[in-house]
Amino acid sequence: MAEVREETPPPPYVAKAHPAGRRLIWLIVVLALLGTLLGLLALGLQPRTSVTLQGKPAPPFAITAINGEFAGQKFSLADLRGHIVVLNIWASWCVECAREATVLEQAWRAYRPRGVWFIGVDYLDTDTAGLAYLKRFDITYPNGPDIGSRIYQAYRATGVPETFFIDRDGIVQHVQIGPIGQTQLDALLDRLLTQGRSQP
Amino acid sequence: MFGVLRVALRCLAFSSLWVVLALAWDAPGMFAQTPSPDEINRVAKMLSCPTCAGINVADCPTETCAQWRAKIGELLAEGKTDQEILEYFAARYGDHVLQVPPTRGFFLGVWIVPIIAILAGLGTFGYLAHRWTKRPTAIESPAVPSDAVEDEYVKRVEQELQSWQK
Repeated sequence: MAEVREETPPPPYVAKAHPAGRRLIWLIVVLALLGTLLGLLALGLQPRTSVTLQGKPAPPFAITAINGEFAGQKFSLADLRGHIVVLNIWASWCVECAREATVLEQAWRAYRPRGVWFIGVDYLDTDTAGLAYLKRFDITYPNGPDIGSRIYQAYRATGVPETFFIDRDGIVQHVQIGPIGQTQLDALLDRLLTQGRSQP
Repeated sequence: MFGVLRVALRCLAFSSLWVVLALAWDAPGMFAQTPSPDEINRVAKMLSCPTCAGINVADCPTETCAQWRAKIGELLAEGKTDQEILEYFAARYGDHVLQVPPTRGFFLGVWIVPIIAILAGLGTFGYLAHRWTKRPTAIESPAVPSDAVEDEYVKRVEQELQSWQK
């Protein structure tokens, strides 16, 4: 009896159903999918707000000014290297932007002789509305549209207004979320101006 | 008499020529009409409000969208087509303002990923279904015929019985 039982071969499907090679392939596929999913999750959970740029090199930007004496001129961060740059992202429909518009213009007029450049980036605005805003607040520093919203995205802005203070070496030293006041603006610019000038 | 008539005809022809030229020069402006709110909203519905979530420019009450609707009106009055207006807004503010994602760059994934996912799902389903339906067939056809095993048993049982009867 026992002999007969030993001679009976197992059904073929038992041997073929889960071969080691195929199981390994499935394992690799599942692990790869899980890895991709976790990677994407980690990427999504990373903080990507503008404040994370503080202490880091400012992303490059370029705008074509539409206002005043600078109309038609192109400005880029590379061209302004060696200068302190105040990059202000604004929009005509933004109520908080209007609160700081005069403060920024006054600071531009006061600090321009000391080599500080103010650059305005008009975000999600029509040209007509943007120009009307600039005229209303008599803004004379170079302002241009954010074509394709690229500057807004590169600077990880979370809304308007946001102002980035970039030192002479192109490092973001401060990010101001929301409107800025005269006292704070002056203090920031004075601090940046007293910082040692880097070697060219 | 004929001389006066000839001069008059010449003057008429000359002035007509100027009128035709003036019309040709300003043709787009002359024939452009102020677009109706429905025409503006038709295009505005194809754009997303950039400052709010899940709402199109036509239905959005914000100042930004009001400005955009005005801009759509301007572009329609200039004779731009719907597609040209959408391209203008995508170039000016970014592809994310389009309600229907474009088939280029990052947004290409929006079109491709679901198709890949559906194909992968169908493939997996097909494979599993094939495996599940294959199992019973394998049981029905074992390598050793069951009759042979049965015969062996029967033969031995019979031998045992015979020896016992003896």
